[in-house]
Amino acid sequence: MNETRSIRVVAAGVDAPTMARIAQDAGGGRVEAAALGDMQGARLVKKGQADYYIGTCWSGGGGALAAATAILGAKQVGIVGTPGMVVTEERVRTMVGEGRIAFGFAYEQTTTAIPLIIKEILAHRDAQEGRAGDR
Amino acid sequence: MTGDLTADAAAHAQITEEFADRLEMLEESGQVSKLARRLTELALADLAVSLDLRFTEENSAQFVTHLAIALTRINRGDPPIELSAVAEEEIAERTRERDAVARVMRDCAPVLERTVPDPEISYMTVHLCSIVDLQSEQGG
Repeated sequence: MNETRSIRVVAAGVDAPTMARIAQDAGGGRVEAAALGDMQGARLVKKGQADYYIGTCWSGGGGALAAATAILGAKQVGIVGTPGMVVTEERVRTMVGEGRIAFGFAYEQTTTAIPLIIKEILAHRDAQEGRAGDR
Repeated sequence: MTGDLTADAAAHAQITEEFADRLEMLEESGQVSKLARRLTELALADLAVSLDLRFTEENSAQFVTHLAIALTRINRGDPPIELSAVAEEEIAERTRERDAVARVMRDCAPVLERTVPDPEISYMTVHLCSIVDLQSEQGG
């Protein structure tokens, strides 16, 4: 019987504790989320001690992913929403599918973006494990 | 080089030391220019003195990152960012903080060779207000 490890998510930015709670709730027992400072959170992902990083700032454009970009590299991060760009399932799915591990969005999108990101991460994990199980 | 920004020596020294790691990381990764880093430090020192604030990594990390990236973006001449109604509502009655940010950004403008747009000032003010509120709650 396969026991699946929880997905470890770090949340950083405006009201990170609420972000972490929303992520954990959205994960339905499959996600462990913690609120951390942006540099500390990104370093945990870099060291493999966390799987994904989610970050917010007021504009969604710069501060949300600045530390993650510096520590993980630009190819690992993606902005999924800003006040002028709605968070869409398609954009999130594409970024998760590309293997990006840090996602940024505007603070006001917290309640819509996080459940979508978690949903796509879980679907991606399920697909990977399904493929592995077929081998 | 820095317009009329008043760089209180003690405040400036505290700021440069407190945020050295963060600003170094942002500059090294190419997200923040040398000019924007210098202006960020001067702007923070000015705001610390004029609003009687103490900026630390713990209470101001997001503000410092935002400021440095915004100044880099403005200096580069990037398209204006979209104004968030939520952010604007947050600071609707925060005239003191907005005026302080606007004054410092007016001083930065000649160095940036650009006027700092209103939405940028609004976002900076939102960040600043959260620090003012936190310090006020802590009795500082």
